[in-house]
Amino acid sequence: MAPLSIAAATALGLATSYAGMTGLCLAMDRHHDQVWGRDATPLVRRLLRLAGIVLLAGGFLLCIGAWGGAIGPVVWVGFLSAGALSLVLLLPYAPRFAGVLAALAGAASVVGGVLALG
Amino acid sequence: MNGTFRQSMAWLHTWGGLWLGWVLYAIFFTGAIGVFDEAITHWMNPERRALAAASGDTVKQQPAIVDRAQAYLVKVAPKSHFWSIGLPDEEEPALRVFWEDEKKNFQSARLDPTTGQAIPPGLTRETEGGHHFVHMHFEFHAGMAGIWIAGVATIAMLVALVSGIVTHRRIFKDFFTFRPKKGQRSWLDAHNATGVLMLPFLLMISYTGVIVFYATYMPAGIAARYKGNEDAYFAEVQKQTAHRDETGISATVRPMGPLTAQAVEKIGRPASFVVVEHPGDSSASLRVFGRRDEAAQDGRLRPLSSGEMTFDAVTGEVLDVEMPLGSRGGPAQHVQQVMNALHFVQFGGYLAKWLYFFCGLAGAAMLATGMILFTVKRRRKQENEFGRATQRVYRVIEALNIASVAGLAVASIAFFWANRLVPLAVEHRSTWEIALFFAVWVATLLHAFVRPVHKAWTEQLAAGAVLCLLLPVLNAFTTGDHLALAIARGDALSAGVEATIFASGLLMLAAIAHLRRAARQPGRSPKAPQPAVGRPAATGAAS
Repeated sequence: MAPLSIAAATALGLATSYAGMTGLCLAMDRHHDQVWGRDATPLVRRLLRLAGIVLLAGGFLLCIGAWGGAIGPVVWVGFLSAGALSLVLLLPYAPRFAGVLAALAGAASVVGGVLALG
Repeated sequence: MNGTFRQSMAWLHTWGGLWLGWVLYAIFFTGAIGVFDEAITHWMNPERRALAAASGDTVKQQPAIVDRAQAYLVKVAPKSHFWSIGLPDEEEPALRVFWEDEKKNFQSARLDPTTGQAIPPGLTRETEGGHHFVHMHFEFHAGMAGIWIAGVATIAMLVALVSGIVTHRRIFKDFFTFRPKKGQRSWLDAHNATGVLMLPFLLMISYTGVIVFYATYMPAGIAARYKGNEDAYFAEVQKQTAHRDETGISATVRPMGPLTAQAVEKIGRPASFVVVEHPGDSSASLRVFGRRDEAAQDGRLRPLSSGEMTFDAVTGEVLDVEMPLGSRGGPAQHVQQVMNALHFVQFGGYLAKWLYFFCGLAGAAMLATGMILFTVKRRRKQENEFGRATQRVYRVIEALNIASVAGLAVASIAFFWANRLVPLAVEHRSTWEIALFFAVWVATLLHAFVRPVHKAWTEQLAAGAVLCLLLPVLNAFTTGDHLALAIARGDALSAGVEATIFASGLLMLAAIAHLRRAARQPGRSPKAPQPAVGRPAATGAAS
């Protein structure tokens, strides 16, 4: 992996965590309903959960790449908490915006990941 | 404690959390601030810039500077258990000397590195700086007693975390749940969300916090195996030269400058500290520590040595050398070093510091919401846990909540004001700053008893907000420095401190707006003063 600057790795790490946590969150009926006003279909639920797991795992690899095997996991766990807590505080006040933001963060994660690999 | 396991865990969580919650809140809040102790110390001593300009390149002069420090120490503490010399660096242009006096009290002085004379008051701002928050964090400025209080509270924290997990039935279902504007429900949600989502940090920081002081909290091993001699234990576990007991034979410490020069040459780094054990005794030893180089740590979680060299301080014989990036001790020692590094954020630079800052504040928020939840619940439905005294105990708990959450914030920002307002030439200036911090804190506690609960919250938050928002103005008036100037000269530390405090002021304004909104909708309001407890009538205080 091409070395990322700390600032870029931080932004990407937070983006993967936020988007990944939102994926897991919106796979739950209660929260899916909060954003879209209806329950998720089983397929959508499975896709959201898969996307969430992939994004969080991607964030883990990114942190290992940027900070190494010792510090990377510690930073990753910090990002997980930060991403999840931001989502929890944002969701009840602006559910749609929280969803849109997650989509953007997810897209940015994928683009950033591809650029970092390439 | 009848009932099921979960009920007894809930009991443990509620009462353990409540009685030690106030102490823990103070530990988390000051610990989060203490992450930035260097930046705060930097902000708190603007006079250092002039001194730094006057003393020039201090690295090349290190041996001469150490000689000057030695001359000073020979004068004030010829016979002592301990001398320590902190050499000037980019952050601290003063030459600092520390020693133990005959009464075993720790003394210190700040010297001009070019003359070796004490810096006259007025030229420097004698302050505890950001270390004040670090001291609050682990010992409340109360020495060993404080360390034990912090230890007991931290064990209680670990118990509360585990019992909280057991109590929280819907830990996965409610993982992302926060329902605002629903009174008691919202406080419980906030408490659960911060607790669950921060759990890895909370477990790590509490456990490693206890481990930092393992030799104090679990003294049995050292008492049995080393007859209580901690120095001997640490020398062996860290595989350093054996600790030398005092002989009682007088001897003079040879000039320390040349020894420092020899050590600096050998380890290839500038010195940071020079320490002498038992100066004046024939057992005297001198240790030179190299300067820490963050970049050389190279992504390691376990800090490697910065280099050190030990001499017989009387004969000058070399006793021991440890080169930079070396590593000593066995696996147990290494595990403990990793835990220390995790606790003190000795890794990852400013990114990790900011993560710890926010995680620490989220932990404090978890404690605060738990403490507030306790009273919110009982404002709706009294539980008469204390018989006829219940009303009075509830009122005391309300007051302690206010003073520990809002009051501590006011006292903390007041500490920054004290730093700018206490005259430079006052004797024991740094103690005055800390005394003012405590005075303001006590005042907020009294205020919390005297004023109705809702008003006390609002007024203390307002006081905190005003002090935070006006800090840049105060700084401009007292030192002529302010945010814009700091940014212009690229002083990120000063600018960061002032900007963060300003943002905290805005946050407090938001909290006040929230409280006022909540007060206008009595039924659902979490903070609306209810006749039963909200009014201090029960305590007989004026309303």
